[in-house]
Amino acid sequence: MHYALSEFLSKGNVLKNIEIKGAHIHNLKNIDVSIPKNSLVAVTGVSGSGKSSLAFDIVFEEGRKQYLQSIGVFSPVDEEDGFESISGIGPAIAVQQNIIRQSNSRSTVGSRSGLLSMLSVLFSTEGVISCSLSGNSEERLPPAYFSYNNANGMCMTCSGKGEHYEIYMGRLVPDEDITLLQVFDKVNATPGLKNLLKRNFKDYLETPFSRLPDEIKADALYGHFVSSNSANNSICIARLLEGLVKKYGEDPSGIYRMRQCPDCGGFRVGEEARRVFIGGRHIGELCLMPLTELEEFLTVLPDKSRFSAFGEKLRKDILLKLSALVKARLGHLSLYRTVPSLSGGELQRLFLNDHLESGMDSIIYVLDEPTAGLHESEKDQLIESIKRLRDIGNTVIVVEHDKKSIMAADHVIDVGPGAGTEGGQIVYQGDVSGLLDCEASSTGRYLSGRSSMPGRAFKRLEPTGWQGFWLTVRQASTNNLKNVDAAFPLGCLAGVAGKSGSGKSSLVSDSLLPLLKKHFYNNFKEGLSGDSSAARLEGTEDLSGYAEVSQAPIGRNMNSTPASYIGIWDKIRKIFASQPEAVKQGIGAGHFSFSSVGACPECGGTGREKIWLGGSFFIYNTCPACHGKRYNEQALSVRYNGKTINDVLEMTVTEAVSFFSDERSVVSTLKVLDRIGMGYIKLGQPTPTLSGGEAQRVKLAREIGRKRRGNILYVLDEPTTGLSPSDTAKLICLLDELIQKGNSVIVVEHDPAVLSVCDWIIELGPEGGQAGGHIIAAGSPKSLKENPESKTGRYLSINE
Amino acid sequence: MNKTQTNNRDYWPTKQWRSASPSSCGMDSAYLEKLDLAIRARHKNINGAIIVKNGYIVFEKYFNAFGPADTHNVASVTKSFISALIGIAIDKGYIQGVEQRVLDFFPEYPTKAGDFAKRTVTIRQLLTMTAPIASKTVGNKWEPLDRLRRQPDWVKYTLDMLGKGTSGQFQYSTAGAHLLSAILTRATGLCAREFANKHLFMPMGISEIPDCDMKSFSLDDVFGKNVTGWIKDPQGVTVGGMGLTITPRDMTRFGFLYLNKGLWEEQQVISEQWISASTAMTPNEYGYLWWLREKNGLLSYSALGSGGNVICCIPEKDLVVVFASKIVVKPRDSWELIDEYIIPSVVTD
Repeated sequence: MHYALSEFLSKGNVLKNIEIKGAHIHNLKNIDVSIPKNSLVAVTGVSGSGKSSLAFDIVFEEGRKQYLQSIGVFSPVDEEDGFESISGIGPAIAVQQNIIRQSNSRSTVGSRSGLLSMLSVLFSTEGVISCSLSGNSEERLPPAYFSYNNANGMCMTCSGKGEHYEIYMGRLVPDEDITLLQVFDKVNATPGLKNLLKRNFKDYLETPFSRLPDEIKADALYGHFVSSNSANNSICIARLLEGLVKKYGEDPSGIYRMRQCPDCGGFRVGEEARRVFIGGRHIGELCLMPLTELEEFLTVLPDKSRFSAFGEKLRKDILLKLSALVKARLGHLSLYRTVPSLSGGELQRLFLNDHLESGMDSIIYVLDEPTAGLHESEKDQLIESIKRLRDIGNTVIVVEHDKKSIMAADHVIDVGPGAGTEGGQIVYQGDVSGLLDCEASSTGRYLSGRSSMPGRAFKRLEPTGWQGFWLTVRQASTNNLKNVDAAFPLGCLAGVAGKSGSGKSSLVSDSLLPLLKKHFYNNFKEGLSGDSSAARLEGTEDLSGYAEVSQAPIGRNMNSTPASYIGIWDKIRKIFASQPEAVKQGIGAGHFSFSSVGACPECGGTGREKIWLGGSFFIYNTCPACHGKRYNEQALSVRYNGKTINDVLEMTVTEAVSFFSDERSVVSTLKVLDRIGMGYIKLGQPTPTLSGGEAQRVKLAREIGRKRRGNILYVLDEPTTGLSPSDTAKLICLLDELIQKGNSVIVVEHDPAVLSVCDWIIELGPEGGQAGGHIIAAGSPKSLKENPESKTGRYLSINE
Repeated sequence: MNKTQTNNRDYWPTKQWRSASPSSCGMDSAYLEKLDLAIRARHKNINGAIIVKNGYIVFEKYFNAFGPADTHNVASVTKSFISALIGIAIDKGYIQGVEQRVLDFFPEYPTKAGDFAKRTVTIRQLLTMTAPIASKTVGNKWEPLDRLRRQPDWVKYTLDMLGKGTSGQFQYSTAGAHLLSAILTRATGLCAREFANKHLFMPMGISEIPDCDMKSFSLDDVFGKNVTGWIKDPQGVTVGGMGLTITPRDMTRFGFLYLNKGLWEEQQVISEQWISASTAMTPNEYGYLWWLREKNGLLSYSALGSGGNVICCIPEKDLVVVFASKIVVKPRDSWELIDEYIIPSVVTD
């Protein structure tokens, strides 16, 4: 029936289009777009062309706004709409990359999917209280008691984390004679902090720790409240150790160790909840099961016959959700698995899952690269799910670069032709075959093969194999890794491939990077290596450093900009301070900072005024004093080559490259940004608004801009996320150049275009989760293509 | 002018409070009429209000069909009573002093060798709410009281939480106050209720609080309508942080004792040092289980309980203000009554 409906619609029997007239938000050039409803629409174009402005800032924002207003929820009013008129819009839901990437370790698969709350209610209503300890009541526990995120439910010892850091006293104070001074010296902290500590305890330094009064011991170890610092804690051993963990990921001396919580045994919830059982298990046990096992457990549950009607309905709802997650290939995860520890693909599927399983129709879904982080072989299934959404009567708009997804679309809107001011126009609208023929569209040219990916100018690998140095991770066993040894050729472009959940991130982010960190940032003391894992690194003597370029957001501070992040902002401010007008007025570099003395006194440098409407409702207006320029008049009175400091913030990277062409130190990093397809971003764009891919490229530019000597190992996590084919081509050239200069690069990647030009590929697999964690192939792309074991080789294209 | 007449009261309200007209005590009755209206209009949770000036009741009103004989569950006002009892126990030598360690009173409680933080928690830290205690983990504003209610052993539960968190940081903890009640019992052999009857209530003429029979520990039994007398935990330890029921006039007697620096008739019920130490201003504006306030140079100390229960003592004005309230969620702040009507009503000292 649904198919009949879409057939009916495709014949144009019902006039059902989203008609947008005069779209002009950001760089859009007053364009008219018609988006067919009830179809799968791909919006394509190079990064910065304006496709997100169209899909998210107009279609999604307007759909959401109109829906909220129609149900009586106030939504913020913008100063102007980004378009002249819009019709045919409906309720809209968006899944955006930069929203789902987050680092809160309290967020887990269970909390994120809502399954934890559902299970909590199930335990609250249907759980059997084993021996009641108080003996006086069989009072039911409210659902909050089953949630590790609630004060009633969390284990008080670990505050619901299931594990906590503990000072290993046996290692810190190995014998009775060791003095407090010696104890302090065992902690691997900076001399400054240590001297502070020594000064605070100067009367006790020569006393053996074991003979100190308990009060002094407690104070030296854990400190006490002080209001004078941000940690609100006096300087103490625990704080030094926490600092080490923050910096290096762990305390290399092994004194401060993450331990499973002894009270809850890693189950995160308090004793109250651990006494309530369903099918003989408490909620903590269920939450640590892989989802496949949990699904099985709840399906065959012997207790279910005694469940109330409500409980039975809830059990079935939980099972529905579970089976959807398992179908989305997340069955290897547990409900307690933390969101930050998920791979990109797992995260994407977790977030999309709810929507894909929804039965609603007439919704407009706007999805940001739904196939990002997926292996080629996994994309089909996701595309099928998206098609199903369309078939039940929804409009699905995907902002995509992926060939498979674009080819599956009913309708393509290509925005471009270039980025920034050179974009913002509709290059092509219509079906896919037309796109392939469209000469003006760079997307079309790459998809049809008329433009091809660049080869490598510099291939290090001999046909006989790599004769140079290797960096080897031995006995890696984090997450699902099966004690593997992985060898990366140095001075080469090495790719790490494999299905999502196969262990790529575990190998690179959880094994290789911590080991590198340890090697380069610690004066590694002999025999004190972390004893939690036997993993070790060989071959580091041939490296002079490393740089991690992840997709994690750059930061949440709205005052942070790409210019400040890549380190050119200080230089630009100095340039302004050296202008005659500035010298005359006697104003220094600080006056050109909008977060310092240069700020507009009205808005404090935000450029907008916040108007409180009561409750949690705010509207933002352009600051009436500075008209959004963020600076005070004094700062704006100084010009460099005719531009004010605010004009510089408004410049795109490309514009800034020519504007600052005389300032070599400024322009070199900007050029890198320009070359990797980031020429369209403004120097003053707040970094929290950058997408994960954009943030990563800004980081890469900064790392390259640092111009470090020697062989630097660059480790990149899925750098093509958010990149159009032409931008991917630019990235490949840049990586190639890094290798030419004698550096090494490791990329975790799914994109066959990038993998095909690697010198070496390590493939993990064969499947995701527990069925993965092995190295199933390693060698040149060509050898992978010929290797029947490889799941990636068949997608590679080798140009000899 | 500071003329607190602590040593030459012309009568003591042991048997009976005496009343006086506001004007005879230097107060402007017009303000008190407005106070009455304000309570009726905006503070409907208040069931009883008493103002004592110079030892005489100048204002006593009951609302919502309550009367002088009705007792009220005064919630956390209970804590200030526990403070007084700890002071008396120290005065009498049952407890060495505020620096004594909490775990001294629980020798059977097992600690690990490395539990220095737990072992060094003192009575002073519990009194000032600065003990390291894990009740407020990551952003939870309130300690989970319902969780305490469900414990088979409240004291063990609280001891388990002790030592985690920042030592010296102000963390309001009802569980911590309960520990003080348990300490009192360990030190004196009497539960806090019995100790209070004997050493605090009897000298002031406050009627003896009988043992209450805890049938269960349901919400109503611990926080709600079934609370009578002074509730106790499953081990029979008088609840230290809440759960006392008392009449507004008896609340006023307790405040009056503090105004008189511990003296009542001929007896020093609590030592003057304890009262001073309990009510001396601190950066946290919290003494020994008393809330401290300084506004426009006027110092006050108060026992405050959830829902709007108040015993507020303003020594400089020789004033005790008592509000007994129904326990409601988010009551209107009763400081506005004190600031706008009561303090301005005192025209001459």
